[in-house]
Amino acid sequence: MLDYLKSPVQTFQDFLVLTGRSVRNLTRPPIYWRDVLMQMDSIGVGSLPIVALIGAFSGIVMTLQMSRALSTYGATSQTGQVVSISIIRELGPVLTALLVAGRNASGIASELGSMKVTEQIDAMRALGTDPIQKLVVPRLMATAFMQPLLTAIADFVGLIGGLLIAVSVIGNTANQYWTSAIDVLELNDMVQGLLKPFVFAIVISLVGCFYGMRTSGGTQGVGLATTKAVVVASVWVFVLDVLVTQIFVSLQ
Amino acid sequence: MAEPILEYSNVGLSFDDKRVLSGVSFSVLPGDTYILLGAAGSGKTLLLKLAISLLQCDEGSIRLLGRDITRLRESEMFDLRAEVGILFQEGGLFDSLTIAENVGYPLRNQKNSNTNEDQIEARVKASLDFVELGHTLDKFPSELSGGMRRRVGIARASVTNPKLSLYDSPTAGLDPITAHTIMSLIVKEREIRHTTTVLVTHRYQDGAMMANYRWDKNRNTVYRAAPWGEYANLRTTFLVMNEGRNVFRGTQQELEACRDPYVSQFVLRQPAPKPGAELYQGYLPA
Repeated sequence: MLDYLKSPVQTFQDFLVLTGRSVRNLTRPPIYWRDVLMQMDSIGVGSLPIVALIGAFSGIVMTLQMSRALSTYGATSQTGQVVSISIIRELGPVLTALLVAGRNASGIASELGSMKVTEQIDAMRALGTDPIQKLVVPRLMATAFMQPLLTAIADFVGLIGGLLIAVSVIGNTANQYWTSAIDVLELNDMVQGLLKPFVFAIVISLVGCFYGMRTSGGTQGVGLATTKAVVVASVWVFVLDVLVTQIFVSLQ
Repeated sequence: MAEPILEYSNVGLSFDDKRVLSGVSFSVLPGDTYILLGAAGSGKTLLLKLAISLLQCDEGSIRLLGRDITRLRESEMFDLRAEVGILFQEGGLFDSLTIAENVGYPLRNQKNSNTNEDQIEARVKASLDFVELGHTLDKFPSELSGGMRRRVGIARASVTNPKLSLYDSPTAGLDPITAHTIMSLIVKEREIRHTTTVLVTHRYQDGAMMANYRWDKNRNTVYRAAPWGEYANLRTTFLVMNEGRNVFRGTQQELEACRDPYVSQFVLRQPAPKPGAELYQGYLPA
């Protein structure tokens, strides 16, 4: 039994070591700003179309689903409220995080993994740069900065998607929808909606880097590292979602 | 006696429960050439990685440029690594950077390197000209052949004028002609920059070339420093590794005379070239 537990505990410990070293390096020069910008471009701008698309569809689907339930109580005028709360608090952050995990945790893991198996990470150390500083820190910073922005965009596009359905299918006026959607939001919702993506971003980028950096076993190992990174990052997104939600629910 | 540049004392290393190195001791003096021969998995590459602390040994100690690096922290290693050039087995070039950026990487990223951009460009160009690849500056590593990538690796390893050069199987997987070119460049590097060299290889010819050949600046080619059948012994020591243990150490003569069944398998007696071939790599009386 203990043997079965040994490996995951060891892995988690290694992950914490990487996290510790990355956080410590955040304040240490040199920060490779060029790499940070390049990662922001690939993680943030690169994910924008797909994040916006998924945001719009989730808004549309939410509104369609809610319309039936709400009409049962004759409360279709509250559509905006329901859509806005569920998107801002939950769907926007989680769906965006899952997309970024699928798109970028895998990208990071496969890039770093290939570098590892072709000795580029060793070469980096041999040539006088710390791979944590050069590879992990820029990815961590870029994801942590871009993820809340991506989520905000996904939220906004989701609300627009909801608006389209609320007006065209349910028969709300645009004004009615927006007013109920915006009025219901409190500070708690906004903070929760932006804090979640920030927390998710840290985990997604670090998990991607972690599995990339410990790749072994050639090209097959790269594939394995990529798969693991996506699965583990996605699971962590849900686990942390529960934790953060619980904290905010108890604050209310 | 000069202080050794690199010194292994009773070095041992294990991965999980498997011992991969044990009791390895030798020291490399300035100007020496060490050839590490051995079968795959005998621990040759590990010794190179230990030399610049890419791995840390479990037993014994390693001194690099007069400092004990056995328990040195990663951040303290960077200054020492700046004094060492290393060529990785597959070149270890960064795919995402151009050839010029790859070669300039150590100059731009080493903490104590305060070279300005013009100097960097000039040194990158000079270093690439040295390996006769001055025309590839803006290409990416994927656009070059395997041999050319190794040559870029040599250029990158030597751009900082290191005191010690480490080469990990520079000729592995290359055809004999390209392998000869690579080895000539390593001889040239040793001759012109007076670097101390540690070369890991499984090809006896590579070691024999390091032991007997010098660089002729005027003819821009290598030449044998002793007549055929004799040994020039250019301060070259051969080390044979077997399953993590050092089973032989000595000169080329001693290696050829060794009757150990494992060690003697690495020795290949080359016939003297046909008349006329001297033009290419013949003996030149000094």
